[in-house]
Amino acid sequence: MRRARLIIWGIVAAVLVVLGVLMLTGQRHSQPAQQTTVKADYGGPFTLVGADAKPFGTEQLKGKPYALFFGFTHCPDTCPTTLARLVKLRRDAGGDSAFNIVFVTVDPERDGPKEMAAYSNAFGAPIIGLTGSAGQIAKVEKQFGIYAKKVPAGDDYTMDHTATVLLFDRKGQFVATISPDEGDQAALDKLKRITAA
Amino acid sequence: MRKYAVAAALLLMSCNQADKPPAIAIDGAWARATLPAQTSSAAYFTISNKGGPDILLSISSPAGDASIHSTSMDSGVMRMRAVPSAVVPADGKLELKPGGLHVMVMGLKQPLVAGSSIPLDLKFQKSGDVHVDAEVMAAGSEGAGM
Repeated sequence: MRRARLIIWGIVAAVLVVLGVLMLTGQRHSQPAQQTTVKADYGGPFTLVGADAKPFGTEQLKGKPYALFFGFTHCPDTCPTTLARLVKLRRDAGGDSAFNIVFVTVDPERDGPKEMAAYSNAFGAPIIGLTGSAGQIAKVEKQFGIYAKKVPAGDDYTMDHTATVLLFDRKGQFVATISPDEGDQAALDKLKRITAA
Repeated sequence: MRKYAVAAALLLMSCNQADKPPAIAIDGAWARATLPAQTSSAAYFTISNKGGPDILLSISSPAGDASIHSTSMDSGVMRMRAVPSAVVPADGKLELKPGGLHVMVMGLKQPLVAGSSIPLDLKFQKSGDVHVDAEVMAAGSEGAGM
């Protein structure tokens, strides 16, 4: 009887020790893990040209979350579809000022500030349209891992390009992506994450 | 013997299905308004078919150079390519919609203004020529009736 009691107490002690160790190591592990996720240095600062033909830098985006999308104004299908969807989702996520929508052209040859201004104004809600020199655009594409390639189409040309939307919080830290084939609800959940942060 | 009879009947049925003439209707045709300096746009519609299969062979428009295009997504990269034709399934639908199959109109002679319409001439293998007027909707639109 006494022996049985001793064994039980032994088990209780062992469980307590194990729990204590788990809690300690758990705490120690969880903190650095949060800091070392991919978020930190993806993208980075850039300087492009705004729709007003003046330089536009990342510092002008600070303080508000933003959704970054690369495309081109002659894009007849994917770009207007994505931008219209972002405008709609932004209203669902809290209104036109919930976050900034930033549209960067991958076709600086045809898209000057004037074209970006006209295009950005066509969605009935504020969109920040950005262009730049071929070199500036190429640099930003590389920073964000954006693929863009000119493809001949008749007498004209079109662009193959990454159509993933990149989401950043108000500090400019990368948070998540929205892919074009992702459902509205999943996209909205992600947008709520950047607006809440 | 019986087996053959069933097979023959099935074959006959499938032939019947293929021989049945297509019965095509086109709904919800719309095109996206162009923006200043933009000379291309996309148009969309749904082809519903209550008969045998058909093939959409080509699209033309007096407004510009129209062709059938498809948008495909591969690891997040959007690619848009002309497709030679599109099958309209028997007793089914062929949807042309944003982010998928669409009519690409390039070299527009005039801007597409919301509220106007753009004429499209469709040529089907069996149904022949079908004319559609697509309603021009604001650039920020996501589709007809939405």
